Amino acid sequence: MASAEISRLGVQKAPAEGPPKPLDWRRFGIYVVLFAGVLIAVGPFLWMISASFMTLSEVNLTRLLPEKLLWENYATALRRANFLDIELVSDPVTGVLQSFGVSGYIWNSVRITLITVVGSLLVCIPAAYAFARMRFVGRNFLFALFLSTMMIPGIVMLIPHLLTVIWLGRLSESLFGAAGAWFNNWPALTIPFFASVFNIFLLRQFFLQIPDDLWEAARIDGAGHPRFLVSVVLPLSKAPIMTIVTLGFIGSWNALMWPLLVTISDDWRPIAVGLSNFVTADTPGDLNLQMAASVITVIPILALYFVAQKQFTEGIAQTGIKS
Amino acid sequence: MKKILLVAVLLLLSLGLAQAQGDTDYEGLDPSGQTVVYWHQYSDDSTQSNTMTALIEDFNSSNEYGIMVEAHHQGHYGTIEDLMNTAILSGELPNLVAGYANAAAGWANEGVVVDINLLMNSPAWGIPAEEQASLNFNLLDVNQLDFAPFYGMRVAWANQNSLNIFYTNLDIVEALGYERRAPATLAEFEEISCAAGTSADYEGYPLDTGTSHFESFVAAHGGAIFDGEAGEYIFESDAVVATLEMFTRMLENGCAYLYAERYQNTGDFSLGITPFAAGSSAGIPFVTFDAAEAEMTDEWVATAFPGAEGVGRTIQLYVPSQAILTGSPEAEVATWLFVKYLAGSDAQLAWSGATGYFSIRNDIEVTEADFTEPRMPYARFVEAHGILQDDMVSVYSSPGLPSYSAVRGLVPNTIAEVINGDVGVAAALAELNAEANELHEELD
Amino acid sequence: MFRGGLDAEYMLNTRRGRILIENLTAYAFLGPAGCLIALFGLFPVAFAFFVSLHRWRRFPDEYIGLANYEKALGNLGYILFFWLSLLGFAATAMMARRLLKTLRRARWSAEWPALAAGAVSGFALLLTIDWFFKLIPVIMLIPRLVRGQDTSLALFMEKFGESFASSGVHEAGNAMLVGLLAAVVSLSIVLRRFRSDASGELIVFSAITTALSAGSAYLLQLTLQETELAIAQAREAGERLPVWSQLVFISAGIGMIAAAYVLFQRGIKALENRRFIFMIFSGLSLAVGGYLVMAEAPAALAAGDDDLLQGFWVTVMYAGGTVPVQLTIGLLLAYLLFQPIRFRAFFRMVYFIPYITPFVATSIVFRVIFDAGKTAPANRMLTLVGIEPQRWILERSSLGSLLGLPDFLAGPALALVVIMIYSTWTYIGYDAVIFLAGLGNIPGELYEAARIDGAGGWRIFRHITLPLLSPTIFFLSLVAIIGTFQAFTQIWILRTGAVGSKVNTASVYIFDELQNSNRYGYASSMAFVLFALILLMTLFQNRIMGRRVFYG
Repeated sequence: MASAEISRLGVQKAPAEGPPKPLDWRRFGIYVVLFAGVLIAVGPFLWMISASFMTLSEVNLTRLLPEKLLWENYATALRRANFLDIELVSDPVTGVLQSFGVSGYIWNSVRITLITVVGSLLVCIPAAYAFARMRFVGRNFLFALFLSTMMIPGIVMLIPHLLTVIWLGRLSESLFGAAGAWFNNWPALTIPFFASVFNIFLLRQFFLQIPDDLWEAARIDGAGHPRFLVSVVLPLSKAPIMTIVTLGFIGSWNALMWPLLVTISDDWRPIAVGLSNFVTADTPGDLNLQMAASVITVIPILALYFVAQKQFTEGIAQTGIKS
Repeated sequence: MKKILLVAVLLLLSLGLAQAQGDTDYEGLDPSGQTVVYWHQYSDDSTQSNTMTALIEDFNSSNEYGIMVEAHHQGHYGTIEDLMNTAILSGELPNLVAGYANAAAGWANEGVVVDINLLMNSPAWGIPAEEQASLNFNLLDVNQLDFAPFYGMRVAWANQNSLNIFYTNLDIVEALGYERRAPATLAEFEEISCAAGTSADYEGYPLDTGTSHFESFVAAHGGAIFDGEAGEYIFESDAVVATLEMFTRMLENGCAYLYAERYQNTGDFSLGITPFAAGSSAGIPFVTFDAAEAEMTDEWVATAFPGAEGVGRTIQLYVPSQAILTGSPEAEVATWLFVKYLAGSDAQLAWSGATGYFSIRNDIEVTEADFTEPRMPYARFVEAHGILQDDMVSVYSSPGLPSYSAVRGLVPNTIAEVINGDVGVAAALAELNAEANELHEELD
Repeated sequence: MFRGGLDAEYMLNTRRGRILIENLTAYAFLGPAGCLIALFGLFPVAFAFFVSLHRWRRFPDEYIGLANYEKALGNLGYILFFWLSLLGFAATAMMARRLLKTLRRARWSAEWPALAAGAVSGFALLLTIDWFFKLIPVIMLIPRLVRGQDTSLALFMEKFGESFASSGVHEAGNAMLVGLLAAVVSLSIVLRRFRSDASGELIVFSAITTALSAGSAYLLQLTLQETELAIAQAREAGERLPVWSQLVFISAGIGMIAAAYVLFQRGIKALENRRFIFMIFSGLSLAVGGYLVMAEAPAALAAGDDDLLQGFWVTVMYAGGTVPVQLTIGLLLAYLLFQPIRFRAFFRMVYFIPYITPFVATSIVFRVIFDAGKTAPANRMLTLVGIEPQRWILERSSLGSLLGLPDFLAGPALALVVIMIYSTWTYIGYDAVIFLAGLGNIPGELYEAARIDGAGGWRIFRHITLPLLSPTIFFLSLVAIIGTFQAFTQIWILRTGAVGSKVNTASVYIFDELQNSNRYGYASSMAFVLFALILLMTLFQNRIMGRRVFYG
């Protein structure tokens, strides 16, 4: 019952109408506008792909299509910047795979995203649950305080975040050794983003809609809040969780300024920084190679989006629904 | 109370250590087993980066102390400055970092830069006087800051140099009805640009609003943006005013156009669209390569900038350098040994031959056999090197002031304001001058 | 059973026990998020404020009071701080009212210990903050102390340990410890001896009231002192600094504008014959208030930083130029998608793509499209329809002045328009998807009923769809406005030297001051002002728009 009620919220139902008339100018007009929209939305991408196969002079003259597909642009771009490097070491005699190493900006971004998303879910789910379904002293005050941090411009955070990361990193390094370092390591790139107020807000919106009957029933069964959260609420929350995962991916993939300042080697440098360094190199960069590099960076996120887009759009639609 | 006293004493002691650091005695140290972290700006898989990697490998395997150099590409100079802000804030500094004199001066202001004079003249580690004679100190001294609070400190060490030079497409010049040579004066340059800009086949001069391009033309007008003797920025001086007026005039009359992408000017030049372009001599390989790819067959030359009436030809010197940052004295010595290695004849020959940069030594000559940069004909290298050695050409270099980094950021806006007609030349330059000197007072 | 004992039976079986458990669980749930937000959300604001009171270039330098704010905003800097401290007092008063309300339900004689314990905790909090901000500068200076040494972790940690014992920090630390001890003791006494249902709330409210009132008093004292100092300095230089009169006039002006709004609202609700009177007073009040602000604000801002003011203006234009356009097109697309059409899922998926791709990648394409060259796609389009090619991302002049309008009507530089187009392009899909969900939540029966009543398409849209969609519109505009005011990356990567500062939003200008000039103190003061502005605007939007939202 509950799951039906909840999934209903995300699904768009068009008002029913009779069968369409044979020649409907109005509907034709709608399609024209919608397809124009498609062209505007993906046109830049199509040209990006097209340009990535061009020679330099073709790009400089802004041709629409290349005369010949230059696949070597991709090879060059991959060689010039460390986007992805997969190393397979197999036994020379038996041919059995011995070790398997992945490195490069794409891999770094994937790792950063995974840690950020998992950490964020672990931190945000209980917090959102508390705000949505528990009564405690100072709830509204704390929620308002949390929300107000969304209005802080990123620029305010730069230096204090650096300080925090530097000194917390040193503390943790003296406790856990070199692996505990924050700087130029995953903690600096992920931990500051665990407590995302937007995620808390999103989950809270969703948790608020879970019917009270479920909680009453669970309580009669002797379940407390933690058990209710894990066994009832979470299984119902696939949509917002998928939203957080995808938004987390987008955020990590886009992150530029902060990672630029806290990574000083390629060990954890993410994709946007790698691409930015590639594009703004001190030697003349070639636009066709830049396009190839851009396509390389866009592919993984697009692939993820195509796989997850159904749940994701449903989940993100939740963000706009009234509290 | 006792504890507080103890701490106060400790604090004073450590402050004392920091103060005394300037007089570090490098003799009798052992730099064995040090790791040198080097931040540079050479893009991955570029000729520069590959050559540098080879040199580092050679140094690592051949030096007698087992010093290991670890190089990291950190993006362009701007990114390196951002990262250095962080490093200074955290205290965890690399040992060697790429930057121009002004950036090094800014770091030196924070006390994180080693005075290379101490190392260079050290009996144990330095360069002997007779060998120093074969170094080109005209270049190296760009990094020696002779004003307060540095008093002769050598904040960085150059490994190479390049020039901002002036490209001329002779075929276009001739096609426009002018004598087949690079323009001799700014008036000539302007006239030909106008002819090109108003012709159907060509574009005018690709004008950059960047500071260093601007300075090159100020120098061509016989001036500078900073007066070293008076110790102040002189944006209201005649040469600066004349330069800005020339830019405005050229744009208004369709003799010049603005561009957005970095290096688009030399890019357009190599497509055979424009008669002139200004750019670093380090860009010659790219121009040659791009011209070949676009099948541009016009003949072109690289020369010094044409000058205003009575000024003669000028060039702007670029001296990309590296600063040695404070660490333990042993680490500083180890870093210096690597820098010294790069300054050696073999390394200089390999570097200059592979990249087309000019050497900091007087005693080596890059022959055709040494020249391995594949995209650039040897003749071009000789041509550009000839400009540097031409005694008739006067040389300009940007002020090595900490404030210059910030002032650099202000100049493009002023240029943009003026060429767009938002503000008059005099008013805009007065404001720029005031702001620049305020920064000078605050930061230097 | 021992009174107040925390044994399991008591906890589970009494109401009080259950409430306590619920509270403890909730705080445990909030713990990690709360700590992280305190560290990465609240601390930065406090830190920025602290830094902004100093001359501070990379490392802490001398305390200079509100001088950075004066440099940024002129006299308005002082006036702003008056308002802030008044706001602080207003918040204190609100807290105190809630405290009294809770108190009225309980017996005063039984509750005073809880109040006292709260107050002690509030003081302990203040002492902790005091200690913290005495400690921070000492820690920040450590990198300077270790220069010229082997900068190992051990060395840093040694200095870190020492900094806790340095003079000033040590005393503040002791005071904090005494405060915290007192708080713990008083809290445990209250919880053991005087606990009632209201104790928890009373303790929290009283602690917050104490901390807020002390904070506001500090702000007011700081402002008064700094203003007096500035006036005295001006007098010495033979000038007059009319901060006080400006404070009075501008505050009065803003007060009257607010009053005009209230009167207007009343007027709408009032009876026909009285509406006229309300409207007249509202208009009068608006005119006088507007005049006062217009007359005084420029003088108050005269000594401010022109670049920052331009940055704010650019930000406002950027927000004004993107948010409405983005929402309108998003709504239009959503509305079209909502019609009975095929390929809905495909359209929805494709429109979303710009939102998910990284700025660094797409901005390169936009730079090419809007390049100044004749072959750039945007210019080719213009040539096709017979318009001169434009300089786009290199164009400092505004669209209006290109069309021949006077300066003050001209609006944003063409380069900024390009950035707006880029930003709109990025966010439309997001808006459309959320609007689509909002449309899906409008019950179909309403449409049918309207159709039976004979309402046409536009009337249905105007009277059913829009009102029922208002929560979504509200949410999206809130998110979009906050987003545009914080916008940084889009502008940072699309700006060119030739347009100079014409596209620099406040964030971009502040970043330049921070990274290029290393003026941390000054940049922090501007960032703090920006934060205050965004917060105020959000509150304002919440009050104005939030009321008009129709919650079905």
